[in-house]
Amino acid sequence: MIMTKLLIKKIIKERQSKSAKKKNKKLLKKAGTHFTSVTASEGRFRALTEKSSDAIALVNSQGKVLYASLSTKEVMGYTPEEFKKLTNPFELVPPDERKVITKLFEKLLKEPGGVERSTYQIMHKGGYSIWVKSVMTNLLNDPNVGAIVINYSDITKEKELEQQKDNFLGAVSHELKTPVSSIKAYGQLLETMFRSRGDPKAAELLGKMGAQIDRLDDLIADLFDVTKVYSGRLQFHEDYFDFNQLVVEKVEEMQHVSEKHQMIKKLNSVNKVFGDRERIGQVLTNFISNAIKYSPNADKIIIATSSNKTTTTLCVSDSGIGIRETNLERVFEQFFRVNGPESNTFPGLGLGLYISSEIIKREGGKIWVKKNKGKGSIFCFSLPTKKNG
Amino acid sequence: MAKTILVADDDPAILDAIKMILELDGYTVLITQDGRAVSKLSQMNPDLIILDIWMSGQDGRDICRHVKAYHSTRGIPIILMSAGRDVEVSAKEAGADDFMSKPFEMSKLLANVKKYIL
Repeated sequence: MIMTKLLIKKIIKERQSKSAKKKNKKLLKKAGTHFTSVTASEGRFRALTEKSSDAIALVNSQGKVLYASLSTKEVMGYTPEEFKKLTNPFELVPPDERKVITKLFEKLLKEPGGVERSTYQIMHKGGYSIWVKSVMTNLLNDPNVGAIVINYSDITKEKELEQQKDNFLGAVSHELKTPVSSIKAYGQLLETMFRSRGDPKAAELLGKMGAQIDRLDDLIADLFDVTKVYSGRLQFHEDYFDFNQLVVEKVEEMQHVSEKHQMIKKLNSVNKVFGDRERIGQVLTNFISNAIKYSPNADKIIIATSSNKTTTTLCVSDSGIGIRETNLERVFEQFFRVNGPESNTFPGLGLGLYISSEIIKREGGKIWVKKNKGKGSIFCFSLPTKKNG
Repeated sequence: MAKTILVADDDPAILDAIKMILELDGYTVLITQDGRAVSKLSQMNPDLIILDIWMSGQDGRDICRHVKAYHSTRGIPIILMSAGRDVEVSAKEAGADDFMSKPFEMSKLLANVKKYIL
């Protein structure tokens, strides 16, 4: 449109000159063609927005809805006219989530061309809530738009399926744990009986069976935890605790798992840490059990702690098979597993480090891995030192 | 006289296994799969109660609160147990004297019991 106006202005100016008559004709033709193409592109835009299954709204910097597509009726039950009458598009979002979305909107206002994606619930006109995936794009500086564009996709069905999957995995883990608990108890009873009857070989075999039951239990526990991570139900009970004491306990526990690996503690004086002792212990156990698993030919694992004014750090170093440079970032992804030199796969679900990274993130810390100078890997996490620590 | 331990869990297999472990160590063991029976059985003054948290239709933490609310039974030590990783704090908040995660080491069960039964 702006280009069309400029062309017309140019035509008027040139009309003043007789010699420009011929040129005017050409320019008018050009302006006409441009006008037709603008009308066509506007038509395409209208067709796209009105036929789209996503609801689309244009909002000004004050949050006032300037335009709403026909699909707002399909997605939220409101006609475009009704939607435009809302104080702002976030009026339909429950109060707690509304605060978060409004903050995102305010942040976006400061970023021309920026995009903010979020998933939240909104109240449908029919009185029930639906889940939407929203994409907000700041096109305030774009002369063709001059607004924040908000896309709403209805993802209620996907959310329901996700919920069903989480519930199912939760139930599966719980149901699997029940028989595992009794198998372990019966196994230990038998082990005691064989030992007291003077049959150490049978007792030893039952001890080995017990170790395998523990592995199975760990896998189920990971499955249980990951469902909680997905659904945001991983619970934390935070308090101040002696970090080095926790390290000593976990190292002692893990020393029983592998007699082959000598666990060397290098504990420096560290701050008290504020966090969930059990969950942080879980991360530590995960680091040490990985170090054992991925260093079958090594005999030493070093566990070191340190702190400065702002953070407390723990690192577990092994001299095992190590991780390729390209995979260093990927080890904390879910389902990622490291292969051995002959592509032999190490056992596991590929969930332990993912759960660990989620725990550390939730505690406001950082988690990372680096190559060990000689051979193997160094896994570390750091936690912030909080006030009164 | 043998000390008496009341154990409640809705899984009969784990109940059976715990009963055998404790009897092998010389304790008298009362068992129930019904969480609602715990308050009544606690009137028999067992020396210790071991309670599962997730029992069908009953939450072991509620039963624990109930037993600890009565003057006559408040002194009985209670160990809550669960297969869940993050219920220890809520178990203690419910008034439990101790918490044990399932599955457990037999030695840990016996050591825990000995903490409360001299």
